[in-house]
Amino acid sequence: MSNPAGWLEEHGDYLFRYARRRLFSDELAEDAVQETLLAALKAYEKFSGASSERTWLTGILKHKIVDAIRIQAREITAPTSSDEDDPSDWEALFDQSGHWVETFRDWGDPSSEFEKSRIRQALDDCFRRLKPALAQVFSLRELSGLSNDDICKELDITATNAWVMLHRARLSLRECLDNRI
Amino acid sequence: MGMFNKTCKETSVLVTQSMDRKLGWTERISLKIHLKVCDNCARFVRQMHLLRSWVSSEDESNQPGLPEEGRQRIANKLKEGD
Repeated sequence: MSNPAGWLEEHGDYLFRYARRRLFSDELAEDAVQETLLAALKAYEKFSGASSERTWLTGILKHKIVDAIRIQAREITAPTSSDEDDPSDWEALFDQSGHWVETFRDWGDPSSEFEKSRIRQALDDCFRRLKPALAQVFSLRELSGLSNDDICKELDITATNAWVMLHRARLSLRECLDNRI
Repeated sequence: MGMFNKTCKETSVLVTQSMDRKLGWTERISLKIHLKVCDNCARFVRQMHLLRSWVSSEDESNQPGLPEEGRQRIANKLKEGD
Protein backbone atom coordinates (compact mmCIF):
# COMPACT_ATOMS: atom_id res chain seq x y z
CA MET A 1 0.00 0.00 0.00
CA SER A 2 1.07 3.51 -0.71
CA ASN A 3 2.94 5.46 1.92
CA PRO A 4 2.76 9.28 1.89
CA ALA A 5 6.10 9.61 3.64
CA GLY A 6 7.79 7.96 0.70
CA TRP A 7 6.10 10.02 -2.04
CA LEU A 8 8.67 12.79 -2.09
CA GLU A 9 11.54 10.35 -2.20
CA GLU A 10 10.00 8.12 -4.80
CA HIS A 11 8.22 10.57 -7.10
CA GLY A 12 9.71 13.98 -6.26
CA ASP A 13 12.15 14.08 -9.17
CA TYR A 14 9.61 12.74 -11.63
CA LEU A 15 6.92 15.24 -10.63
CA PHE A 16 9.40 18.12 -10.61
CA ARG A 17 10.66 17.31 -14.13
CA TYR A 18 7.10 16.98 -15.37
CA ALA A 19 6.14 20.36 -13.90
CA ARG A 20 9.34 22.12 -14.88
CA ARG A 21 8.92 21.27 -18.54
CA ARG A 22 5.44 22.81 -18.50
CA LEU A 23 6.07 25.82 -16.26
CA PHE A 24 9.57 26.77 -17.47
CA SER A 25 10.57 27.71 -13.95
CA ASP A 26 12.23 25.84 -11.07
CA GLU A 27 10.39 27.88 -8.51
CA LEU A 28 6.92 27.37 -9.99
CA ALA A 29 7.67 23.68 -10.53
CA GLU A 30 8.68 23.22 -6.89
CA ASP A 31 5.51 24.95 -5.75
CA ALA A 32 3.40 22.77 -8.01
CA VAL A 33 5.02 19.62 -6.58
CA GLN A 34 4.39 20.87 -3.06
CA GLU A 35 0.75 21.71 -3.80
CA THR A 36 0.30 18.32 -5.38
CA LEU A 37 1.67 16.37 -2.44
CA LEU A 38 -0.31 18.44 0.05
CA ALA A 39 -3.50 17.88 -1.94
CA ALA A 40 -2.68 14.18 -2.23
CA LEU A 41 -2.21 13.97 1.51
CA LYS A 42 -5.69 15.39 2.05
CA ALA A 43 -7.29 13.16 -0.56
CA TYR A 44 -5.37 10.09 0.52
CA GLU A 45 -8.42 8.14 1.63
CA LYS A 46 -9.92 8.59 -1.83
CA PHE A 47 -6.95 7.03 -3.56
CA SER A 48 -8.37 3.71 -4.63
CA GLY A 49 -5.18 2.16 -5.85
CA ALA A 50 -6.93 1.53 -9.17
CA SER A 51 -4.13 3.45 -10.87
CA SER A 52 -0.50 3.50 -9.86
CA GLU A 53 0.53 5.97 -7.21
CA ARG A 54 2.58 7.91 -9.73
CA THR A 55 -0.29 8.14 -12.20
CA TRP A 56 -2.57 9.35 -9.43
CA LEU A 57 -0.08 12.00 -8.30
CA THR A 58 0.57 13.10 -11.90
CA GLY A 59 -3.18 13.53 -12.37
CA ILE A 60 -3.27 15.94 -9.44
CA LEU A 61 -0.12 17.71 -10.69
CA LYS A 62 -1.71 18.35 -14.09
CA HIS A 63 -4.42 20.42 -12.42
CA LYS A 64 -1.89 22.24 -10.28
CA ILE A 65 0.09 23.18 -13.41
CA VAL A 66 -2.96 24.70 -15.08
CA ASP A 67 -3.76 26.54 -11.82
CA ALA A 68 -0.21 27.89 -11.65
CA ILE A 69 -0.34 29.18 -15.22
CA ARG A 70 -3.71 30.81 -14.63
CA ILE A 71 -2.47 32.57 -11.50
CA GLN A 72 0.76 33.61 -13.20
CA ALA A 73 -1.15 34.94 -16.19
CA ARG A 74 -3.28 37.11 -13.92
CA GLU A 75 -0.44 38.39 -11.80
CA ILE A 76 2.31 38.92 -14.31
CA THR A 77 0.66 39.43 -17.63
CA ALA A 78 -2.37 41.48 -16.82
CA PRO A 79 -0.68 44.81 -16.01
CA THR A 80 1.44 44.80 -19.17
CA SER A 81 -1.01 43.64 -21.78
CA SER A 82 1.25 45.12 -24.45
CA ASP A 83 2.54 41.58 -24.89
CA GLU A 84 -0.68 40.53 -26.58
CA ASP A 85 -1.15 43.66 -28.59
CA ASP A 86 2.26 43.97 -30.14
CA PRO A 87 2.15 42.26 -33.54
CA SER A 88 5.44 43.69 -34.79
CA ASP A 89 7.55 40.72 -33.74
CA TRP A 90 5.93 38.42 -36.24
CA GLU A 91 4.87 40.85 -38.95
CA ALA A 92 8.52 41.63 -39.57
CA LEU A 93 8.88 38.09 -40.91
CA PHE A 94 7.04 39.14 -44.08
CA ASP A 95 7.74 41.71 -46.77
CA GLN A 96 5.19 44.25 -47.94
CA SER A 97 3.54 41.87 -50.36
CA GLY A 98 3.12 39.23 -47.65
CA HIS A 99 5.98 36.92 -48.69
CA TRP A 100 8.33 35.38 -46.13
CA VAL A 101 11.55 37.33 -45.87
CA GLU A 102 13.45 34.18 -44.97
CA THR A 103 13.81 30.96 -46.95
CA PHE A 104 13.24 27.96 -44.68
CA ARG A 105 15.23 24.77 -44.66
CA ASP A 106 14.23 21.19 -43.97
CA TRP A 107 14.89 20.33 -40.35
CA GLY A 108 14.81 16.58 -40.76
CA ASP A 109 13.62 14.39 -37.93
CA PRO A 110 16.65 13.06 -36.09
CA SER A 111 16.46 9.54 -34.75
CA SER A 112 19.65 9.27 -32.70
CA GLU A 113 19.38 9.69 -28.94
CA PHE A 114 22.11 12.30 -29.03
CA GLU A 115 20.25 14.45 -31.55
CA LYS A 116 16.93 14.02 -29.74
CA SER A 117 18.46 15.12 -26.50
CA ARG A 118 19.98 18.14 -28.23
CA ILE A 119 16.56 19.12 -29.54
CA ARG A 120 14.96 18.75 -26.10
CA GLN A 121 17.62 21.03 -24.70
CA ALA A 122 17.12 23.56 -27.50
CA LEU A 123 13.36 23.50 -26.95
CA ASP A 124 13.82 24.09 -23.26
CA ASP A 125 16.07 27.10 -23.98
CA CYS A 126 13.63 28.49 -26.50
CA PHE A 127 10.62 28.14 -24.18
CA ARG A 128 12.46 30.23 -21.64
CA ARG A 129 13.04 32.96 -24.21
CA LEU A 130 9.38 33.22 -25.15
CA LYS A 131 7.43 36.16 -23.79
CA PRO A 132 5.66 34.89 -20.65
CA ALA A 133 2.18 35.49 -22.04
CA LEU A 134 3.00 33.45 -25.15
CA ALA A 135 4.71 30.69 -23.16
CA GLN A 136 1.66 30.35 -20.93
CA VAL A 137 -0.77 29.89 -23.82
CA PHE A 138 1.59 27.59 -25.69
CA SER A 139 2.18 25.44 -22.62
CA LEU A 140 -1.53 25.04 -21.93
CA ARG A 141 -2.17 24.09 -25.55
CA GLU A 142 0.78 21.87 -26.42
CA LEU A 143 2.09 20.62 -23.08
CA SER A 144 -1.11 20.30 -21.08
CA GLY A 145 -3.24 19.50 -24.12
CA LEU A 146 -6.04 21.96 -23.37
CA SER A 147 -8.47 22.87 -26.15
CA ASN A 148 -8.67 26.48 -27.27
CA ASP A 149 -12.04 26.79 -25.53
CA ASP A 150 -10.54 25.69 -22.24
CA ILE A 151 -7.57 28.03 -22.65
CA CYS A 152 -9.96 30.94 -23.17
CA LYS A 153 -11.82 30.01 -19.99
CA GLU A 154 -8.66 29.55 -17.93
CA LEU A 155 -7.02 32.78 -19.05
CA ASP A 156 -10.18 34.78 -19.67
CA ILE A 157 -9.20 35.71 -23.24
CA THR A 158 -11.07 35.57 -26.54
CA ALA A 159 -10.66 32.75 -29.06
CA THR A 160 -9.08 35.15 -31.54
CA ASN A 161 -6.64 36.32 -28.93
CA ALA A 162 -5.67 32.74 -28.13
CA TRP A 163 -5.08 31.94 -31.82
CA VAL A 164 -2.99 35.04 -32.34
CA MET A 165 -0.87 34.24 -29.31
CA LEU A 166 -0.41 30.61 -30.32
CA HIS A 167 0.57 31.76 -33.79
CA ARG A 168 3.16 34.14 -32.42
CA ALA A 169 4.46 31.57 -29.96
CA ARG A 170 4.97 29.00 -32.72
CA LEU A 171 6.68 31.47 -35.06
CA SER A 172 8.90 32.62 -32.28
CA LEU A 173 9.83 29.06 -31.24
CA ARG A 174 10.45 28.16 -34.86
CA GLU A 175 12.92 30.96 -35.28
CA CYS A 176 14.69 30.21 -32.02
CA LEU A 177 14.94 26.47 -32.79
CA ASP A 178 16.15 27.14 -36.31
CA ASN A 179 19.26 28.80 -34.87
CA ARG A 180 19.95 25.89 -32.53
CA ILE A 181 19.44 22.70 -34.52
CA MET B 1 -10.02 32.66 -57.73
CA GLY B 2 -9.62 35.81 -55.63
CA MET B 3 -11.09 34.37 -52.48
CA PHE B 4 -8.61 31.48 -52.58
CA ASN B 5 -5.60 33.64 -53.24
CA LYS B 6 -3.63 33.92 -50.04
CA THR B 7 -0.28 35.46 -49.28
CA CYS B 8 2.36 33.57 -47.28
CA LYS B 9 1.45 35.73 -44.31
CA GLU B 10 -2.22 34.79 -44.47
CA THR B 11 -1.29 31.19 -45.15
CA SER B 12 0.94 31.04 -42.08
CA VAL B 13 -2.06 32.01 -39.96
CA LEU B 14 -4.16 29.26 -41.54
CA VAL B 15 -1.36 26.74 -41.00
CA THR B 16 -1.13 27.30 -37.28
CA GLN B 17 -4.89 27.70 -36.86
CA SER B 18 -5.35 24.33 -38.52
CA MET B 19 -3.46 22.94 -35.51
CA ASP B 20 -6.04 24.38 -33.12
CA ARG B 21 -9.38 24.22 -34.92
CA LYS B 22 -11.05 22.67 -37.94
CA LEU B 23 -10.65 25.02 -40.88
CA GLY B 24 -13.64 26.02 -42.97
CA TRP B 25 -14.07 24.79 -46.53
CA THR B 26 -12.68 27.87 -48.30
CA GLU B 27 -9.81 28.03 -45.84
CA ARG B 28 -8.86 24.43 -46.55
CA ILE B 29 -8.98 24.94 -50.30
CA SER B 30 -6.93 28.13 -50.22
CA LEU B 31 -4.38 26.49 -47.94
CA LYS B 32 -4.05 23.52 -50.32
CA ILE B 33 -3.70 25.76 -53.36
CA HIS B 34 -1.04 27.91 -51.76
CA LEU B 35 0.99 24.94 -50.49
CA LYS B 36 0.99 23.40 -53.98
CA VAL B 37 2.82 26.38 -55.40
CA CYS B 38 4.83 27.63 -52.44
CA ASP B 39 7.76 25.47 -51.32
CA ASN B 40 8.68 27.81 -48.52
CA CYS B 41 5.26 27.54 -46.90
CA ALA B 42 5.34 23.76 -47.41
CA ARG B 43 8.62 23.66 -45.46
CA PHE B 44 7.04 25.90 -42.84
CA VAL B 45 4.21 23.38 -42.43
CA ARG B 46 6.71 20.54 -41.96
CA GLN B 47 8.58 22.55 -39.34
CA MET B 48 5.35 23.30 -37.48
CA HIS B 49 4.47 19.61 -37.37
CA LEU B 50 7.96 18.68 -36.21
CA LEU B 51 7.73 21.35 -33.53
CA ARG B 52 4.49 19.83 -32.28
CA SER B 53 5.81 16.29 -32.32
CA TRP B 54 9.01 17.27 -30.49
CA VAL B 55 7.15 19.29 -27.89
CA SER B 56 4.65 16.53 -27.21
CA SER B 57 7.24 13.80 -26.72
CA GLU B 58 6.87 12.75 -23.11
CA ASP B 59 10.60 12.58 -22.53
CA GLU B 60 11.65 14.68 -19.57
CA SER B 61 15.06 13.10 -19.15
CA ASN B 62 16.98 16.30 -19.87
CA GLN B 63 15.23 18.12 -17.03
CA PRO B 64 17.16 18.36 -13.77
CA GLY B 65 15.74 16.65 -10.68
CA LEU B 66 14.17 18.35 -7.70
CA PRO B 67 16.82 20.57 -6.04
CA GLU B 68 17.80 19.57 -2.51
CA GLU B 69 16.63 22.84 -1.00
CA GLY B 70 13.18 22.53 -2.52
CA ARG B 71 12.98 18.93 -1.43
CA GLN B 72 13.67 19.93 2.16
CA ARG B 73 11.13 22.73 2.01
CA ILE B 74 8.45 20.41 0.66
CA ALA B 75 9.32 17.72 3.21
CA ASN B 76 8.81 20.24 6.03
CA LYS B 77 5.51 21.42 4.56
CA LEU B 78 4.29 17.86 4.33
CA LYS B 79 5.13 17.25 7.98
CA GLU B 80 3.12 20.34 8.94
CA GLY B 81 0.26 19.14 6.75
CA ASP B 82 0.24 15.74 8.41
